[in-house]
Amino acid sequence: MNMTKTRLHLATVLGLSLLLGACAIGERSRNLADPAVPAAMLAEQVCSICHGVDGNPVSPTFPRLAGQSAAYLSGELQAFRSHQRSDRAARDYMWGISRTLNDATIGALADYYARQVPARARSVAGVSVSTGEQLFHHGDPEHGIPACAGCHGERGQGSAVFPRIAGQQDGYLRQQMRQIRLGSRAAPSMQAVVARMDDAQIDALADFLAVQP
Amino acid sequence: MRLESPAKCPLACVRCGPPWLAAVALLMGGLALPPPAHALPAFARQTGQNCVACHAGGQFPELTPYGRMFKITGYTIGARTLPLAIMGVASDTWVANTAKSDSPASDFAKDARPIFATASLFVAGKVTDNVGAFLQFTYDNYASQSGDGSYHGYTAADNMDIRFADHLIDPQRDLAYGFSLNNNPSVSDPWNTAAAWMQYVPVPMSSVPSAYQFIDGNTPYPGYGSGGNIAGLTGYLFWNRSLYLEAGSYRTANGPLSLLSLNLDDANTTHLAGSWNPYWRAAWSHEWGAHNLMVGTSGMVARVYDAGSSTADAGALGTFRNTAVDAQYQYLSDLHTVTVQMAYAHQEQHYSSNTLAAFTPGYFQADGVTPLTAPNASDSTQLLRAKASYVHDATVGGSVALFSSHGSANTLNQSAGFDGTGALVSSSQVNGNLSGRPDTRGMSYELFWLPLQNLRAGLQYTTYQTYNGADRGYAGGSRNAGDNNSLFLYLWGAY
Repeated sequence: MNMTKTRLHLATVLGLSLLLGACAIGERSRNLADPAVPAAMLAEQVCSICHGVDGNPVSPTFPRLAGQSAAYLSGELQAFRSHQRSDRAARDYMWGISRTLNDATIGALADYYARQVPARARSVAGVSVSTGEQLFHHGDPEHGIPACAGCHGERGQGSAVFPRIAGQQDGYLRQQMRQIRLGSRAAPSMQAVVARMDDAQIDALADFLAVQP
Repeated sequence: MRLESPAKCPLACVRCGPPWLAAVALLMGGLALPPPAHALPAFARQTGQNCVACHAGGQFPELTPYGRMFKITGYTIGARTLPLAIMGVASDTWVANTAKSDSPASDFAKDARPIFATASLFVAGKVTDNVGAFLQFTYDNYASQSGDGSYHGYTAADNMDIRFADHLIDPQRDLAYGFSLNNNPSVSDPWNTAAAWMQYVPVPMSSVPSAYQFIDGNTPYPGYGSGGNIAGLTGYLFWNRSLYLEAGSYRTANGPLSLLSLNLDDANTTHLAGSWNPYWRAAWSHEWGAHNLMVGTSGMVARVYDAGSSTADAGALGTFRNTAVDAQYQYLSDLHTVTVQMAYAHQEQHYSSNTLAAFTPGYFQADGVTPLTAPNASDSTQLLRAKASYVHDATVGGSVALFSSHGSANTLNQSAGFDGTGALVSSSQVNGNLSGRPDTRGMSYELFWLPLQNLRAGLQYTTYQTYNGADRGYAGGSRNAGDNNSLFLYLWGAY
């Protein structure tokens, strides 16, 4: 390569950088490592791609965050960042997203999603839902399964420690309960419960919870 | 993308490749060791996420909806980091029949011999909040061959895409838009049925090293007549994650744009007429539950000078008109990834007047007396390509694909025929074409394994029903399409 060509290439790169840099709007950033970027902007520019701009995702791979307890969301994000939560989805998606977030941004992201309104799930009726309702409110004493409402709240609204499960996507709930049962997602207190549940009960519970407001 | 075959070897040869190849060699050895937590290429280091976040079932480079948005927003998600990555491929191939050949030693020189096929260096990542780049430089270890049979490697610009992007999004609107300066029509496309991305296992060139001309990567795939290493500026928008529109134009990658054809000498650089060689793309996408679907169309009109000719010679100018429809369906869950892809492409090629004038019929019709008919001034080709793949747990997978190309017969494309005595003769029993048609049909089957997220081992078996216009005796000899069936084994790693 001769010097003329080298100069041309350098000029191209420099010219492009200057031109594009001058065009950089700067108003909308997807930089997860910049604490100056507002949490709402990160939620819209990055988190929304999987979780939806209003916390209501399309894919059951990703949980509905709308209306989730802010304290619970904040705790989960911190657990992702510290790698205390190390299930597969955490490693694949959330370790990276959370690694450079500071506490203030985590808190603001949690508040953003807690303020969003959960979308109403499609109505599912039938035996499965009524079985799920029974399990949610009363558990299955014969098999040692306690009522879900005991920890997750009478309406499944969650708390600082236990997630909101009302209105969560049925596919996501099934997936998480099975992962916890297998031990691939660590949740000691929950594992003791789902270990006693069969697939039909998990399906029924997911069907019921998905349609709760 | 395949590199042009350079006449010279200015940078490297098989014995002494470019210095960064040493890093690739270390990579291929080092991949046997457990990777560190974030032992991933440049984009993964930027986002901190694993391959499956952006690549369906981890099968790079097929993109998930998130991966598509990462690309559409200009590779700017995450935090700026060292924007370097390397990739290497080692492979072996076995052709069903190596005996029906004028010279098996040269026609199948690398049959059943493992080779270090190709390697790439990437400079890729976020530049500013709105600007990002994907620059690939590829070393082809078998780019050319000397008369004494020795092979020569070559490094040159491969796919390049420099973007400016912005994303207007709130609960009421969702519009991502941007501009791409790139060197390969459709390399800017976010779906993997685009011509630049549908064939994605890096392969050596079609004829060098010989024996690799029949592997799946060298079967008919959608493409643009202009080829790559040209310079294009396109603008695009993606509205509500449903409507994607892109349009732009290409020109020769020379002068200030010569970075896009880096290290290709003038004779091997594609020369386009002017700056108006338009490219367009429209796609509709829909996501529901774990499913997503895209249906799209694209096209390009390119006026291309014959290779090695002067751009001052108007008689050297030919035209390609490419149009295509494509579709892709994905089902993505934690354990299961299903993808179905389809592309149907039509090409009209109008030959330059120089090409037609230079035609000298080398063959006769079957009577050995009547000359071949004059060549067509233009040809049309239709290509159907479809593939279904499944990946389990981002670890093991397989695919079934079909390819079927059909085109007009043209004596210009005949490289076999009858001589003055009425006897069949061929330029090559392996690669000759008696019919003058490009028709090639067959199937490809693949199994692959990802022992690590950045390492893939694959085994492809490609079968031919038709090759170069015929099922049997396609080159005028005894060689049939089925004799070209090939097994291809590869090991593909990136770091």
